[in-house]
Amino acid sequence: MRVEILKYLGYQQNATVDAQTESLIDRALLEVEKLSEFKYVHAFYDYPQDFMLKHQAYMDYLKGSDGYLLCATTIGIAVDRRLKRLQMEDMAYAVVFDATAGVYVEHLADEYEKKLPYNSLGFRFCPGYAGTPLEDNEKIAALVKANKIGISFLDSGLMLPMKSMTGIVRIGGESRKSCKDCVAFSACAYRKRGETCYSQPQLLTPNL
Amino acid sequence: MITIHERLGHEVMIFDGAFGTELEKRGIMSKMPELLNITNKDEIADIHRSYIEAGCDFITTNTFGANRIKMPGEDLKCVIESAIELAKRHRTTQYVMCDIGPLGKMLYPMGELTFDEAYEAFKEMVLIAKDKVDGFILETFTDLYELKCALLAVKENCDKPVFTTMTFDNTGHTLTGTSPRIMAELMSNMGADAIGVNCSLGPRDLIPIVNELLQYCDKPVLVQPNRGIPALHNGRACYTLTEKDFAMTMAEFQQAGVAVLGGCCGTNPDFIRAIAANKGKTVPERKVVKQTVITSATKYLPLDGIKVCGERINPTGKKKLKEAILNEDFDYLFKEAIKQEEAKADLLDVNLGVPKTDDVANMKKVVVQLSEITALPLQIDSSNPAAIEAGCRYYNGVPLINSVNGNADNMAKVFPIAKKYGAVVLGLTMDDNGIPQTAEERFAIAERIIDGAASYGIARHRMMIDTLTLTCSAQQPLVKETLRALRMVTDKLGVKTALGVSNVSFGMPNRELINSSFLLMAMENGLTMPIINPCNATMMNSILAFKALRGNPEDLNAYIEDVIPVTTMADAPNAATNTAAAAVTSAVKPSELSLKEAVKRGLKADSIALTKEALKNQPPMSVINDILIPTLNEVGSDFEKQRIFLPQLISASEACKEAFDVIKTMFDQGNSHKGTIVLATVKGDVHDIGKNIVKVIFESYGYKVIDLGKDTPKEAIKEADEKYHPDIIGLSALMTTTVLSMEETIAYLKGQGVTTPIYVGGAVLTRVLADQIHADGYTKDALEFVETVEKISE
Repeated sequence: MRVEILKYLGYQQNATVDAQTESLIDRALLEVEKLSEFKYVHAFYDYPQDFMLKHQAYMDYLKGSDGYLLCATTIGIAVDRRLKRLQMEDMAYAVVFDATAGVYVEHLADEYEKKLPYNSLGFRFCPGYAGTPLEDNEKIAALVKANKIGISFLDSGLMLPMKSMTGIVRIGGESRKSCKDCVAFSACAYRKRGETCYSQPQLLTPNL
Repeated sequence: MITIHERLGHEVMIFDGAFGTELEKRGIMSKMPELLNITNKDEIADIHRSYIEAGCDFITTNTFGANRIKMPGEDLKCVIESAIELAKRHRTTQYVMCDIGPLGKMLYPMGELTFDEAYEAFKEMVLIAKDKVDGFILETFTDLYELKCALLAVKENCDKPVFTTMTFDNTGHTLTGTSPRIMAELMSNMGADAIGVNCSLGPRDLIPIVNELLQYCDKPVLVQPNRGIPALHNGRACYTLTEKDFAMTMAEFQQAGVAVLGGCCGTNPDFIRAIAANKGKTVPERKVVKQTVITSATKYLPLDGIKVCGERINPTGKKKLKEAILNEDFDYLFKEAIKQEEAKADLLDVNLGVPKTDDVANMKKVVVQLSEITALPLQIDSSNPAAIEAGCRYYNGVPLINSVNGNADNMAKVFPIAKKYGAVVLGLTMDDNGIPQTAEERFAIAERIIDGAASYGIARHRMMIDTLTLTCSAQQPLVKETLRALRMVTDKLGVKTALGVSNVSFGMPNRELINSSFLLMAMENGLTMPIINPCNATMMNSILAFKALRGNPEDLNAYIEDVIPVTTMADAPNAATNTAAAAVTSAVKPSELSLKEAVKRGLKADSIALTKEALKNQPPMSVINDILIPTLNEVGSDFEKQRIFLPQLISASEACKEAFDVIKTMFDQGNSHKGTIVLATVKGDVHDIGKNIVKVIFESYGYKVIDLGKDTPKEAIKEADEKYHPDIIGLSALMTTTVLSMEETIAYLKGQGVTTPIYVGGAVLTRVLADQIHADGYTKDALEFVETVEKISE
């Protein structure tokens, strides 16, 4: 998780990680873990939803699969509250805490999916990937009743709690993450320096 | 027909079961099931009939989401009236309860729906239904604040019975952190007729929740569990729990004292038939011991033992705070709140009484925003009943009102507020004639206040008494009267007590010694709630010592663990004002560290100390121009070259800001800043971390930052522009959807004749996008922004 967190914080290939930031990450990991109330709901389907038919990227992702899960997950509102307060106390730590919480929800969701009773689940495909619309978050949330785990939406489409996600998880089949259809393709800072947003940079630090 | 009140709590009554599940079974489930009241009347009436036949006493109307937030543009009157008519079609002796669920949007400040908007939505439903139903059920709430809002909408607009339920999960609290006992306390105080849990989990998993409700709730308890947690398969919810197993646990609940049984998601008429076997049984008596309790949404605080009320958010005698309130610089207050919580205050006093300010509007703002910053319960403190009401109305929990006194008019104003909002009230032993001299006279006023409260239906456990501290220097003989009165109130009235302790030492040398000595004497005479500065180590240590000496082994351990070391008598006052700044200190001695190095490494305390040191030998402007500015430039350059990264940039900026703050005190007035910048995250966006980074960086460069916060209406930005004449306006947005809001904001500001340059930034913005939405400028990050502004002002 540490490398992911550092990546969120702007650390790039071959960057040197300072001891102070490392200790902030240590602190954030402990605190985020303590405050998190991880929740995950999912629903199985063996036919595509209407919103998926409108975007080839979904269909490409599902090609050759034996059905899929729609899911919604969150680490809860206490993390949001803490972040709000940290921004008044210690902004440097708040930024690290924010990045840590973002990585943590992904991590717990990955771990949870490993334990689900389905063979060969694909990576979680979230609305926004490959040019799919963020508005689909709300459609998935309605289908899995994400309100039951406390997820709601602002008019702008932002999710509350802030560290929440919805997604699609393919059962069987295969497809890999690719930059091909990404909206940010031409302007992507990662690509310009030969990385991708889903690869891990090599960082220089004695502790990693 | 026998009324609900004649039966409720005496004989076991039965609610109906799930509605959605029955709609699914009939194949007519839709996105807005409430519209089926118009399109599928017979099926809806038939579902009600099936529950009536199963033996329920209450029918829930199909109106759970029939509000204007979830169903904008629909004819709610038609939907709700039809729902009620269909619920009545087959009824015989059943009560028809209008169902009101949450609005589906999070309330401000977590979300963006305001309390008042939510209130109007609930009120609309209540007004349509109130003359046609037997009562209301507010159910499936996960946010205490929204439930409070809904309950107020019912209570302020009709006098029908109202039941309230929340959804708890296996963590033992709601999704927003409210425990059953907190919910029970607020709902009971505000006058809900039955209180309980619905939905959530299956009955077995609800056992701890139900037990907690039975232990703490003095109103009839209502339980409507799910048929367990379903698996979702191709759009169908699949449940496995049988009605027999469901009914078995429900029977246990009944025997434990639950008064109303029903079902939620997944249950059907067979489940209701199974639990209807308990119908009409006598509800077993429960003994609920009521204590004096206040709460926030997440903290339940019984006022017993010694509980510290932090006095720092009260402008009396605090020049800086007064100024902050005048300038509506509430961040200053919020930081005071955080400091006091860190110093282990149990609750916080909030008094915003500054002449020429709108204390009603300010109280509302501060109470709402504090709920996001601190979990501590609040004492709403004002001599203005309108400000008290504003504080209580918008507070999320059971507040403590400070105060009422023995004056009849005053009681007539304050008690109805306390009653309506479910508050605990602190009574001051004074009246029209001022503060009486003797303990006996003060005791008599205390009695009068308690009796007055009772006449408004406010029970004794919701009252506290302050016997009023007088100054030792001016009225030495009266100090002991305060203590005697404390003892009398504690022993004879059996209510909890409070004192503002530090009043005692006005005009005396070594005030702290007098204060802590008086505190000890007061505690020995029964004081429950000292109102003190919790950041004062001597006072907090006195409390720890007092408790330890009383003989409870736990308190001895607490003393050993928590006592704050005070090295010498001379250091004592400094040691008290403590911790936040000291948190970031280097291991190196200041003398071995340069100011530049301290700032670069983000060492706040060292930066402060070294700035003070530098100011001894250098004029302030030289410290700024020769040390701080070059350091910032170096830090900025390191960041651009990716030698350092965001956390280090921010740390250094924060340390530099501390240094600037020290220097600022050298100048006469606050006009020492370089320029003014207004910052806001636009309407619709609540992610404000990017904007806050910009704020820190600008402050480190010596700018005055007016921070309008997140989800900012465009009108507020225009107002700030007029009021502060900033050099620049900075807008932030995180997502593509909120860039639209940014565009609207810019168009509005320009249309209104705002000429201040408007800069934009945020994750999704690009220079091209910034041009498209007619921003005057775009910068890729906070550093580039401050550098651009520096260039402009040159």
